[in-house]
Amino acid sequence: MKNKIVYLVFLFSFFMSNNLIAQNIYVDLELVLAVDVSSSVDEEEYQLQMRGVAAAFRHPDVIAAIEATGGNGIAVAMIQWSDNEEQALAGGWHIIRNSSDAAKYARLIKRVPRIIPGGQTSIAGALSFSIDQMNNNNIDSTRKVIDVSGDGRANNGVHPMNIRDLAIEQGITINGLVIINEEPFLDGYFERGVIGGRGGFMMVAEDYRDYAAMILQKLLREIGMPVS
Amino acid sequence: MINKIFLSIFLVLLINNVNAADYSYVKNRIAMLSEADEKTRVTIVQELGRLSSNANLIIPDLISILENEDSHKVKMEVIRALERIGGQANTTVPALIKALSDENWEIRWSAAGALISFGKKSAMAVPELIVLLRDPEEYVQNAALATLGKMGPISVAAMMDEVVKPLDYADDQFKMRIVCIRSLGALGAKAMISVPLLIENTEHENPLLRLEAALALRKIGGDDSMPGEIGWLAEPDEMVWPKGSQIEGNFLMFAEAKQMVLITIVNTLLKLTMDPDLQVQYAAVKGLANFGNKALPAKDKLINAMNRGTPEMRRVAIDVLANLGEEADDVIPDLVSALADFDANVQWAAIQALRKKGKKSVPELIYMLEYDDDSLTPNILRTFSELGPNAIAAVDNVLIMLQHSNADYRALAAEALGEIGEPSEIAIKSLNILKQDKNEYVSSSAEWALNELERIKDIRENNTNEE
Repeated sequence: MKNKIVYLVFLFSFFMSNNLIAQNIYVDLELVLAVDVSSSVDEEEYQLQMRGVAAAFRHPDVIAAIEATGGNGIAVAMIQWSDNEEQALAGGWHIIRNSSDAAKYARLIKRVPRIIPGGQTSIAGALSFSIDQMNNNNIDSTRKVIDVSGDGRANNGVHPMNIRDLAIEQGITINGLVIINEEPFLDGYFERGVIGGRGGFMMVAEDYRDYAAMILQKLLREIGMPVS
Repeated sequence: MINKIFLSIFLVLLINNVNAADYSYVKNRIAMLSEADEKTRVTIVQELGRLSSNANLIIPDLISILENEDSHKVKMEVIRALERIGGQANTTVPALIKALSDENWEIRWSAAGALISFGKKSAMAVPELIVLLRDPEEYVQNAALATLGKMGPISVAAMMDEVVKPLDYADDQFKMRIVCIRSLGALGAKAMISVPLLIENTEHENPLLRLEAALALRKIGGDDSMPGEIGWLAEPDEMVWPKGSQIEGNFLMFAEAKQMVLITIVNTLLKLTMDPDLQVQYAAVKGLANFGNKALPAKDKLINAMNRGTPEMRRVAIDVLANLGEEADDVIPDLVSALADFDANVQWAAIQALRKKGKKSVPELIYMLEYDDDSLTPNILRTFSELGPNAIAAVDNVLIMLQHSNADYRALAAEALGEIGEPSEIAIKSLNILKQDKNEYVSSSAEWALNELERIKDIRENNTNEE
C-alpha cells in the first residue's frame, strides 16, 4: 500500500512537473512580421525594411502601446519569405514588455541578415509558415496578428485567399503593408485576397522610402486594440 | 473510400515520377477525368500541371477540357496547368484568349493572369486584354494590367492609345485614362516613349490627371535600367530606339538619349512643385528623390518645404535633400534642426539623411549636442548610432552623456558607443560602471554595448597577433 502511495505521488509529481515545463507563456498579442525578400526586393530595399522595423520598436509611442496592452506584453517574430518553399524565422520569438526588451529586439532586427536571397512570390507560403510558427511557439494569447508586407502579387503557390481563410478560422488577423512601387494596383489584390480577420486592415506605401513611416503607424494600430 | 485511398496513393506516385511521365501514362490520367467527380478532377488536373514542361504532349487534351468542361473549378485548374506547362503558345494562347470572355469572372481572371507566362507570344491577346481593363471585376482588370505590363511596346502603344482618346469618348474614359497612365508608369523605362504624352497630361486642368501623370513620370525616370538592358529596345521591328544596343557607340547614344529624357522629366517635376494642388506638389517633390543631384535647382524650394510643409511634405523634402550629393552639404544644419521636428517620421527621415551625409554631419551634431536640448538630444544620439563608425569623432561627447540625469539619454549614449564600435579603455570602463545602473533599459544597453566593444577589441587583437 505504502509503495502504491509513493508510486502515485511520483506519478502526480511527474505530470505536474511536465505540465509546468510545457506551460505556455501568456502574452496580450502574438505578432508575426512577414517580410517580403523575393527577387523584386533589392539589398537597399531590404535594409530600408530592417531599419524601419528597428526604428519603430525604439519609438516611445510603440513602447507605450506595448506597455498598455494588458501587462503581459507582446510576442513578436519576423519571418522572411519569397516562394512557396522559402520561408525563414529570423531571430526567433521575442517577448517585449518594456523599453529594454524593445531595444534588444530593435538591435537584433537592425543586424538580421537576409536569410533568403530572392525567389518568386508566394504569399500563401508566407501565411502558412506564419500560422505554423504561431501554432508551435509555446505562446498563448487572445490576439494573433500576421503583418504581411510585400511589393507583388503571388506568382507561386496556391492563391493566398485559401490560406487567409484558414487563418481567419483559427482566429488570426492578417494585416497588409503594400508597397506599390512595382505594381500600382496591388492594394486591391491585398484587400480582396490577403488581409482579413477581426479588425484586419491594410496600409499602402508608395515605395520603400515610405516603409519606415508606414510600419510605425501600422505597429501602433496593431498593438493597440482592433477597431472592429 | 478505398478507391479514393488508392487514387491518392496513385497520385503521390505520379508526383514522384514526374520525369518518368510518358504519353500513355498521362493519357490514362486524362481518361480518368471523364469518370471522376469534380474534386478528383481538380486534383488530377493539378497533378498534371505539376508535370510542367513534361506535360507538353497533353496540351491539346487540356484545351479540349477547357472548352467542354462545365465545372468552373476544373476549368480554373486547367488554366493554371496550361500556365505551368507554358508550351505550345500557338495553340494555348488562342484558347486562353477565348477564356478571357468567359461569363465567370474567375475564369477571365485566371486566363488573363496565365497569359503572363507566354510573354510577348501572347501579343495577340492585347485587344482582348484592353477590353478587360473595363471589366466590372477589379481582380480581372488588375490581372489584365499585370499581363499587359509584361508585353513591352505592344501594350505600351495600346495604353497610349487609350490615354490619347478624349475624355468624352466613353462614360468610363476618365477612369481608363487614369488606369493606363498608372500602368505606363509601372512599366518603367519600357514606357519611355510615352513621356511626351504624360508631360501633356501634367498640364491638364484636372488635378487627378496631373497627379497620375507626375507619378508615372517619376517611375519611368526612376527606373535605372540602361537602354541596352531593355530587350525590346534592341529589336529592329520595334519602335523608338535603333538596332544594335550591344555596340558601344550605340549604347552611348542610347545612354545620352535617356539622359535627355530624364532631364525633361526632372524639369517637369520641378515645375510641378509649384502646382496649386498639394497632392501634385507632394508627388513632384517625392519624385525628385529618384534623380540625385539633377534636382539641385530645387534646393531652396526643398528647404522651404522642409520647414513649412505638411509633415509628409517635410519628410519627402528631407529625403530629396539627402540625395542631392555633395553640392548640398550646406543643408546639414537644416537637417540637424529637423531632428527636433514634432513628427516622428520627419525625425526619422532627418536621422537617415544625416546618416547618408556620413562623417560630414558629425561636427554639427556635436555642436548641437552641447546645448542639451530635450527636443534634439535623443535624436542626435540615435543619429550617432545610425552613423556607426562614421561618428568616431563624437565618442568623447557621447561618453559625457553616459552620466546624464535622464536615463533614456544614458541608454541611447551606451547604444551609440556600441554602434560606433571604438573599444577605447575609457569607453569600456565607463560602460562597466553603467552596467550597474538601476534602470534596466540603461544597464541592458550598457551590457550590450560592452559586449560589442569587447568583441571588436578581440577581433583587432587577433588580427594584430596574426600579423
